[in-house]
Amino acid sequence: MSTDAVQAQTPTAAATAWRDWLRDEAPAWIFVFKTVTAAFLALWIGFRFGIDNARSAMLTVLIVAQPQSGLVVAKSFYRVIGTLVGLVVTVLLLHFLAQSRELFVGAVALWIGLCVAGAAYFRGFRSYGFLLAGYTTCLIGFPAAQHPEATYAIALSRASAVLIGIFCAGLVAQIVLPQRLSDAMVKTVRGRFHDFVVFVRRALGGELKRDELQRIHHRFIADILVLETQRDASYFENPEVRVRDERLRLFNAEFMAASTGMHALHQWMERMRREQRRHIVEAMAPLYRELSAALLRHGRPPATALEAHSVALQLGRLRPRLAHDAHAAIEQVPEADRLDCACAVDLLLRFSAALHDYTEAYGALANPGQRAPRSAPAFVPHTDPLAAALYGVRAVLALLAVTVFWIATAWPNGTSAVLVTAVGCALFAQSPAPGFAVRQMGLGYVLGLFTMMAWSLAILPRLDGFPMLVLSLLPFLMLSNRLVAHPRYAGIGAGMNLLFISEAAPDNVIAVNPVASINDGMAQILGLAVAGISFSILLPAGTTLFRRRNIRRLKRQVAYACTAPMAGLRHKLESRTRDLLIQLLPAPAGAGAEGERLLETALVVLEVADAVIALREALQREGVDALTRRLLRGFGSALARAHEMPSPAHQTAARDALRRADERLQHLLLDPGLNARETATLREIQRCLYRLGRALDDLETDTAMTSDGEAHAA
Amino acid sequence: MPRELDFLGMYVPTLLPIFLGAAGLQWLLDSLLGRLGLFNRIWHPALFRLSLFVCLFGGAALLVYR
Repeated sequence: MSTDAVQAQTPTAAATAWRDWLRDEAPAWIFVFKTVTAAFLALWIGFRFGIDNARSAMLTVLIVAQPQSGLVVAKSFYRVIGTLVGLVVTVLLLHFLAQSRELFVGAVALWIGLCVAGAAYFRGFRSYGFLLAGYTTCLIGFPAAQHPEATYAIALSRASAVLIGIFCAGLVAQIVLPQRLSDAMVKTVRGRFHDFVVFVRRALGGELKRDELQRIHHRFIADILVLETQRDASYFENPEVRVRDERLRLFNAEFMAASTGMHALHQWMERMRREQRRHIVEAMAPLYRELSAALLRHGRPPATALEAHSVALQLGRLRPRLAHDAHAAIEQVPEADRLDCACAVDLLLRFSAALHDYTEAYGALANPGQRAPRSAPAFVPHTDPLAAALYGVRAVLALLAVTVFWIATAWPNGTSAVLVTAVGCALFAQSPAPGFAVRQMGLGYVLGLFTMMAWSLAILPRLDGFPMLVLSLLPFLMLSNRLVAHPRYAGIGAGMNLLFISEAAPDNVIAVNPVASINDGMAQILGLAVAGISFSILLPAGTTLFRRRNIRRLKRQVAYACTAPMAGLRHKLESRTRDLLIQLLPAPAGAGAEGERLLETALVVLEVADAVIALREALQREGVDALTRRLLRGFGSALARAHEMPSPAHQTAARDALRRADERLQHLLLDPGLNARETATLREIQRCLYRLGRALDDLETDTAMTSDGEAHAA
Repeated sequence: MPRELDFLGMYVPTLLPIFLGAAGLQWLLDSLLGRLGLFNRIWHPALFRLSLFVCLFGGAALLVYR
């Protein structure tokens, strides 16, 4: 569409430049304009209401500022919750421990450690709520400990400032030039469905090379997490999205199932191609074409949910026909290829079912009043609790170091340093490259310190009245927020915002005391530096310890598939595996050779788990006796071990267990008293076992190769 | 109506419970209208919702300050 528009007019150079500016720069400047407006509104209301710390209200606006209104409201929500929890804890701590400074400071450090652990365990804005609960105790506790009689006043004024700030931020984000998250989401959802249909058609046509396939899978996995985050935040945006929430969750869940189904089928057919099983490939081709054709509407992939709805009906009509044709196709291949072909048909039918469910879930998004076709499972993130706990301990150690220095040297600005250390430890614990993030923030702090000095020495003494204050702050805020809107320099902008506003201090009673501000600013920079140092000394990011642990956890998902209760298992498994993989692969682009291997591992895990679940589904039907069940369970645990710790011994054990289970099944199938249903179940179990056996072959070659590689490297 | 209420021995401005009540009513109306799909027909949903809240809160506040 956009290319047509460009060709329709003959653009002059100026027009092109203008359009480029509109596309690249306008969103950033809209963000700057909205943020600055909201910030000054908050400052004005703070002054008007006469609260003590109007700048906290302004800072709140700058902190919760996000390009889309749903994100602003979500972040605000968790900021309020975190602040309130933090205030309650502060009051309790002060009540019991205010008499003894060391005990109080130690308790605050422990509480913050707990909150940092929570922040590292949860994702997105929930994690931000924990951060707030932690550092509010610093922010309120230290001043209040020096004036216990003023505790309630300090706590109330902090709460009012935060509330005024989020009120202004939310108001401006929703009313002035609203950029809605739900619109962005519609775009994401449409784009993803379109991409998937194109991907499926190309994969079915056999056009995809291995590395391209991997790249697409990686992008899909990253997309799933993005959509999950957006859905989570847009819940706060408006009631329409809340109505749609369950269907969006379903959409994401079915997408995971469909992409796993696609992968399993594709892997199997690649295996057939590699082994040159011509008959199977030829028998499957017409089925592929049927499925591929049913995905289109008027000769192209459906562009909207409404079109997807009719494609879902098309697919629903196709499925019985496809099953019929597929069984006819099995009959045509020679006897020797029949088992492999039946497995391929199983996978194809499974995939077409998943694809139908996915399309149906997308179609359901079109109709606002309609309920979700099925109940939608929640996305299950899978963070490492041990890592989170260790991050908490690290934060406690860093805080104690700063506190000891503060108390031992009677440093007047110690509280600011402790505060910033707490913020730094919590904010960047989860980040894939915390060192880089801290350096950026530090740079922003330094920039903020110098601009603050210039402002408070040269400009502040000449100001008269609120309009002049606004005018004098405006250029600095525009600069820092333009940096925030820039993807590369966001950290610098955020740091500049924080330090500049917290030290330039336009409060109700303006104190012109540049020396105190400069000292305090330097204390903040020092506090951040301690956080940064703690990141690089204690448990540096990307430590092999955590990586190895997470890789083990990834492989252990096979064991999870074998043993966890069946209810909602497929979805839990899909989301846990993907979540773990994303934790291991921070950047979608340029994951490198190691990234490729990890992705490969995750895809193998998903493929094997898919077969295991199919097997367990078949087992739930009748016709399998206790001995077979026991043999299959034994095989399950051997298989899980072979995947978790690939070694020849474990693989042989798995193979033996597989053979025993298979012999037992063959023995059962000889029984003439079986009815047709029981035979079908047993045959299906046999095919699942066969698939798992083939996956085990791949694992063996892979293990042999890696151990060779390691031997060479050593 | 009195301008301040006695709440556990504390004087609370009557506007506070009115504000909370208006917020609750707003939440109810909001989800109801969202469910009916009304917001698809409105030019600026956020502005509409803000105005709705101002009407609710302002109207109720008139009971106190008249």
